[in-house]
Amino acid sequence: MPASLKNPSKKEPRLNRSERKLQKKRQADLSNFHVSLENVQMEKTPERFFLCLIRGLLIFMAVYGTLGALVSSFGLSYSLPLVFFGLLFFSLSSAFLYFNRLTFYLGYVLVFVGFIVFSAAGYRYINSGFQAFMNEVYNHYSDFFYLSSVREAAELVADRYTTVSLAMLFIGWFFTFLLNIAISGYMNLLLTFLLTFLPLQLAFYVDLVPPLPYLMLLLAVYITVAILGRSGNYTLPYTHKKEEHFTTAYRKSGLRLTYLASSRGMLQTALYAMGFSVFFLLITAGVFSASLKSRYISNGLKDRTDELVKNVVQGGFGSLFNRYGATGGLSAGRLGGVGNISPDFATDLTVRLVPYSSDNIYLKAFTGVTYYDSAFHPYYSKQGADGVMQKLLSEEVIIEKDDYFPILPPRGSGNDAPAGNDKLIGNDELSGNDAPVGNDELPANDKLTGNGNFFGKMQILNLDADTTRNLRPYFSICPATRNTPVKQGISRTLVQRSAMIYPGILQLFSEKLPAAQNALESYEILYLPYSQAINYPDNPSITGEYEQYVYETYTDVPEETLAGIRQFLDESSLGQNLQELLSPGSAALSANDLRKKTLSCAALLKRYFSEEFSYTMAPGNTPRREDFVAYFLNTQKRGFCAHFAASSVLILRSLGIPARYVEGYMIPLSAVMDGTPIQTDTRGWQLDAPKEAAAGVVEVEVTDASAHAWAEIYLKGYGWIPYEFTPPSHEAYAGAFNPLQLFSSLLTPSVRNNRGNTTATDTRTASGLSDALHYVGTAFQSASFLTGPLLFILGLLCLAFAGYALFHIAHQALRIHRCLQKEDYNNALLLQYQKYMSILIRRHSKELFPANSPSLNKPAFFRSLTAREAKVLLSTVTAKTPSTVKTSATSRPDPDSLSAPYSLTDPNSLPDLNSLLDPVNKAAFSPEAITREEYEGFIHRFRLLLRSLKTNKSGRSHRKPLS
Amino acid sequence: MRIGNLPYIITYFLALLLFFLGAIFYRQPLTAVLFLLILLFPPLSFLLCQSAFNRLTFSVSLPEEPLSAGETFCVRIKVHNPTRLPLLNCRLVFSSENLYYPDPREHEMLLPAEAGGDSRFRLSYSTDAAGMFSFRVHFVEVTDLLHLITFRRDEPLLSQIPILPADTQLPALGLTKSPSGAEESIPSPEGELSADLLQVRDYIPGDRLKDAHWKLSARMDELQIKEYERSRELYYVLLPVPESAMLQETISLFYALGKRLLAQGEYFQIALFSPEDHSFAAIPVGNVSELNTALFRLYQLPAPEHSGAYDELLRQSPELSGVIRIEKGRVLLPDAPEVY
Repeated sequence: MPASLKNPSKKEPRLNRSERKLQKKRQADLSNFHVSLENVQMEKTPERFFLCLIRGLLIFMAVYGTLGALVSSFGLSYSLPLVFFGLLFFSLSSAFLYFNRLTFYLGYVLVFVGFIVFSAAGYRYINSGFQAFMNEVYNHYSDFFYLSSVREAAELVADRYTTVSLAMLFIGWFFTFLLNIAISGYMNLLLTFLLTFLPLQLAFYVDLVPPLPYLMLLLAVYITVAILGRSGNYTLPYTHKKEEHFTTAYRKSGLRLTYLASSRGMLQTALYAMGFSVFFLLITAGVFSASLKSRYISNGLKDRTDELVKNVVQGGFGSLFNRYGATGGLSAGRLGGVGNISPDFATDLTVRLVPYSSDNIYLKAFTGVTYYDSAFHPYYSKQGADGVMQKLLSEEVIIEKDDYFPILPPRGSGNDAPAGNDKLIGNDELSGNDAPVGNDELPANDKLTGNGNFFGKMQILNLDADTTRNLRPYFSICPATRNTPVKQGISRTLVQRSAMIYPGILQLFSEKLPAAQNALESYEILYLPYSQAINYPDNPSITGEYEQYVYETYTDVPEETLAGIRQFLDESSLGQNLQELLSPGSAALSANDLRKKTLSCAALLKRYFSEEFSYTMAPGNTPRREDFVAYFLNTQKRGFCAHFAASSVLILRSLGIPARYVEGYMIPLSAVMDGTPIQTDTRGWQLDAPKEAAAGVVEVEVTDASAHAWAEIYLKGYGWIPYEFTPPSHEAYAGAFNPLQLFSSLLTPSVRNNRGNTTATDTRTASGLSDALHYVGTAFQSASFLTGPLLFILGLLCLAFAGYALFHIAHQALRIHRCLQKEDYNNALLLQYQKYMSILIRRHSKELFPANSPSLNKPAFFRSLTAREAKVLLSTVTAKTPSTVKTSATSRPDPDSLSAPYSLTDPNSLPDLNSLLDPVNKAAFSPEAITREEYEGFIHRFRLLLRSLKTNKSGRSHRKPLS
Repeated sequence: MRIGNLPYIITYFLALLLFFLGAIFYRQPLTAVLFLLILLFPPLSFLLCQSAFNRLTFSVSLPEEPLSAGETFCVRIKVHNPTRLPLLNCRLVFSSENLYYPDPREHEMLLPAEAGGDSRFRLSYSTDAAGMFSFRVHFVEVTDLLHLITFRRDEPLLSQIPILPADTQLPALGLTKSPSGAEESIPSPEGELSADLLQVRDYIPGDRLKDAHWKLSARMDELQIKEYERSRELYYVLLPVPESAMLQETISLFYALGKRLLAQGEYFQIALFSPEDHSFAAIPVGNVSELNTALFRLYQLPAPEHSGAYDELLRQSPELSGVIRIEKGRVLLPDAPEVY
């Protein structure tokens, strides 16, 4: 009995769960079928070291490609040797973590410790490098969007070359961990792509193209990972034993064996991918360099994202989120916390009224008196000596004191027509509201012929508006304050008559609600239909005491805000213009001149906002440490109504002009026009109105998109007048989220103007077939920029194919020529034979290969014949010696099946084929050399054969004997 | 295209859509070129892979020497890829079985065909039963680099190797046919074997020296060779009756008996019965190689539940004597109904 070398005391290695499971399956196979597949191995063992090395290189290419592309795109320079070799080292060390279990568990600890040490030791440099990069990003974005000011991070170390290099190393090291999981762990393209391509969007977004070498690296990685990830199982090497080359899965239908990795295949793939990416990007580099800037067009979707990106660039990611809820962006004087207005177009109010005016109707709810901490407060307070704000006048007192408005002239006196700067609240198109149409479309206005003012009744149903304050139109009667009608220039007689006719209305209404009392859900209010003009007479009720109070209360600006306003005025042309306007000094001016100057200042400010600032519903939050108005004026320069109203109020205050901030709803004329007529009889809806004014009662649904903020300016001797500073906007409300709309906006081109804003070139909405066709056309037009690159690449491909064909022909001719030079007629003849056979097959494929012949790309097969293969083929054709071909071990079809359909071997098809092929046979098998005459004779005969076959096929001649 | 490609095709189109949207979103030459690259990848992948697939060859080899049951052996697969493109998604669908114990399953093996050379793989099998091991490749599929399309080709490769039964101990069966009653008979130089001496003749190159008649040669001063003629009735006929019940025991006994007879110097015949056409094939056996050949031919025959071989043999050749039946794990000698 032979001695066993096995140590009986040594235990069998313990199998893990999956191995035990596999063993059970194998035993089951053995007992069922008496055959069991135990193991599958490659004879060329996949080198674990080699696999880790290639993975490490892939990780390096990905990391270096990404970081290098980003940093170079934004024009930063770095130490190439340091970053290159540093990242290479980190990538390789990460990849080799998966070499075996020891490196995995020990290596990760070491790497983690090293990472912590590196980050702690180089914190200042790394932080500075990162901030330097971010500052460059901000600068590029600022240039792209024409932003006047962006965030700027402080760089602790000024040496950007060093700091950027170290920051790249640090971030690159972190990236190698992630990419190690994506590439070494899972060979997952999606993960790799997300980790490396997403950061590049920073550059793509502002039309920066990263340098070509980095793109080559990245493209090579993508191709390699895409190919390897879908082949075999290039996953973690350390989880498999060294002798394990295949994974085995038992299924009902049979075993599934999948190879783990192929070192050589992996290397070949990586090399080919690298070569391909270099080739492809080099030949398409011409497309990159083509300047499309001049015809650059954006699209609706990108325009939407522009606002978000601008906000992030200016205010960071925090600016994207609203700090508190707001109705239409308004929130009782709190400012800066609403970065993005997203109206849901739900009805907040239902208002019933008889339309008398072609102007927008303003429903006032909140009056902001004192500004501090980025908010307007409804009470008056002042900063004490200790720096704490002290409330001096409560809201109730303010309401008691306020509300001196101009006296409205009698209706029909001709003074109510808006004119130029005299307009109180312009008819400019406001955000989300359509511009008013002509007065002639208003049913009642122009027909007013009465001699005096009259009351109209307005019914307001509060559905979803702010419930802490009641809304009321201007020139309405508010019985909570005794003098209200007088202050507003409403005659006592009119009020007394109204009280008799509408006794219930006057008892209920109050602007400020007592504590714990909600606003009225439904109420009626009397108001004086007014036209927005200012050429009214003075209000004699205004006392000097009141004006003193106004000038004390409504000209306060906090120090911090004042500094910001002064900076804004100093840096802008507006400041100079205002200074010139106010230069004589207000003290020397008469009340009338002062009014005119005040209005001129307001007009100047309004024009400046219109020209230099832009309206947007998504300006982003104001950073917490920044003052709302100062940040808006000096940095943001974009905003919605609250921004403009608040800023203009404070600018005017800084100039000594009393102004206050107002919030409420603005009912645009279009909403009134679209209102539902509920009755034509206006009796009970107006008081002392001429009959011609009664055009019927309409019910208007006021949505949250109509929430608005505006300013009120105090004109000496006049009272308060509302003033609209919000510039017109062409920005359309996006409405509710609609994926289709997103897609269509993606296809809708838009043009970027020189202020960084974009406007859609086509704002039509599809409502019919023609519009749908128009959309399709627009989409094609939108994608037309792809045509150039497509034609370029297709042209290159055609050139490549043509070049390959020419090369092939030239190469063959050269080989024949060389053989002839060496007088090696045997090989020359075989090469000629190969060439002719290729032609023959191409021309007569159908005759030579019947439909049932083996599935084979015949022309490719014959074209690819080498001289040796031609010999084998010849042997099957001529000598019929199938033994020379190992059919069981080759993909070539059975020689008999090849030879059988050959018409060449059919003596009836063409004459004297044997004599034709004899020289080939001789050249292939005989030791005897072919003479030149034989070679030339063969060529001559084969040409004749080809010609003859051609004529046979075309039917011009049935059979033509060979000469 | 296979069903398995469907997820990849969907993924590809999603990627294409994503890049298209990206290109339209950015309207930048680079993104446009990347989109076009994605668009051009599939045809490139198809063309290259198809070209390489047409030149791809597979071969299967089994051990040259017969194996014994219980041994582990290797099936070697060689993939030859003469092109420069590595095909990393070659799928070989095969089945392997002992013909006596059919395995209906088809296994698949995903293997790489590295470019410009051979890739070799070794499949280790273990078996515990005698029979003909068959390795059959059904078809080969190569999926393109992007997994979008699969090229398929039937690859009718069949390789078989017999597995010899394990050694079985046989008791003394007394199967020596001693020529005690025959005249002119002499003891066989191999000991037990007895045969009739036909003649003594001159030496012819190729004759065995152990058949030399040394005395006569010395006398005649010329090498003389003894030539025997075996008696017909002295031949045994082994009739293996492989039936599904006790199959392995029957085969083991048959093979052990054959070897025993050869060891004893018996020259015998093996009658192989084909249940399909009820025919017999007689194979004379004089050495182990011939015994193996007979065994391999036996492996090719089916093993039904009930063979009826002996009855058929008696019907077709009633005069035949000396038939040893190996049936249901028993050896039935001609004279005794059951000896072992």
